[in-house]
Amino acid sequence: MTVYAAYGMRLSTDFPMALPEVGGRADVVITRASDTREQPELQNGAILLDYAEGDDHWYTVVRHADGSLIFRIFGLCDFDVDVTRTRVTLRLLAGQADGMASIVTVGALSALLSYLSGHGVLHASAVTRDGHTIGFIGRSGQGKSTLAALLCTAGAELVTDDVLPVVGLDPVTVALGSSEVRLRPMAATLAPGLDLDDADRERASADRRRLVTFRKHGSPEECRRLRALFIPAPNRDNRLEMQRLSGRDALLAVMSYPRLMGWREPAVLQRQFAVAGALVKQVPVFVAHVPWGPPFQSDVANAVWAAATDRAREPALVSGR
Amino acid sequence: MVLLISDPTLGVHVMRIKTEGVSWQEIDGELVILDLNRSVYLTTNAAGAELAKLLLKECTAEELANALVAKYEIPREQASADVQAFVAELADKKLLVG
Repeated sequence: MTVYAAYGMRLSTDFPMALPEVGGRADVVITRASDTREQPELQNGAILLDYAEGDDHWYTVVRHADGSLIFRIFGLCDFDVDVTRTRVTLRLLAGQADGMASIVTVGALSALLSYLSGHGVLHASAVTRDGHTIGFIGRSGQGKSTLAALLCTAGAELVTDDVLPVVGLDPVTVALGSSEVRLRPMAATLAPGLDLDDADRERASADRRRLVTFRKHGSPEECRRLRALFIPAPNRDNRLEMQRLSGRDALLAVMSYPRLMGWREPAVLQRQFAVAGALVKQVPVFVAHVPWGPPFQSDVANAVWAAATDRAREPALVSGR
Repeated sequence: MVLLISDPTLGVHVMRIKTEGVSWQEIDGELVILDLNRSVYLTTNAAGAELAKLLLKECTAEELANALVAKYEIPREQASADVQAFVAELADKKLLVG
């Protein structure tokens, strides 16, 4: 078993994960069971979470009478989570590509565990440069990972990709997450400075994306103070502008981009709402109008960073933070 | 039971806002209300926030309109119309109890 650091936790697995390795005792032990040919019928229980789009049933979380959970991603895998939330068994459907165990554990299971531990969980990527940490929040395909990767090519350090757990509120702090960015093929031709032939840093993922490593260290104790959130709004009109949202609109925006959708558990919703409310009182939220590629302009990363950090210095809605 | 009052200036029925299973956030004087069981949001401006706070205790539409007139110095007819619209929205979102 190897212990990895992510999202303020130590995760121990018996399969390789795309996360920095650390020592110490694991908070959660994840073991992989034999692959299964089909997903068995779900047992009755309380549905904590259920998400579908039209006829496509994406995932569900059911709590059984004994307090254990099953987190099912339909057509892909089941996670059995014990009542203590410290032992997890992963069962993949047969035929999945190598590396899928890491992808679903780093992305989906880690997000679920963060929710259940009471953290706010945003569908966001984040970077740090010159001591400032900013996040990009939005739905899948909106440009979060692309912007994070662009800024990393310009010298920023990756905080996380796709899952951003808010672990502190006074001030707002976020935990380190994934150390690599998963890019869609179209976004892989990012900018000068991103050497896609660097085999040490870039490889293909099990879900046909390109993985680029932007950080090789990290511990569960490390966190960053979040200075601003940006909602990507790509454009082809050469428009570079950060448009600040009102507190009310910022709260609604943050609540509309959860990492796991379809929560029905009132306690989780209440916690997410409380965290989002505290966050937008301290952290400005902007719509980021950004000239898009590929091809990206050669200086777009620095221009985005300058505009983002300039606006990130705007005062919060509450003072003394 | 939800009470809908067609003319708040004549309303004598008491009502209050639902608090069980509901969470609020007040930001810059505006409110965002979330019904936790149905994932339904209601947002208000500053005047709506005033009314929502008054509705934490049972009150009548007339009392709500009086509060708007006193706070914002607006004509009584406008205050009554604003209260009627706000109460209707609360009822529509199932956030009003009587």
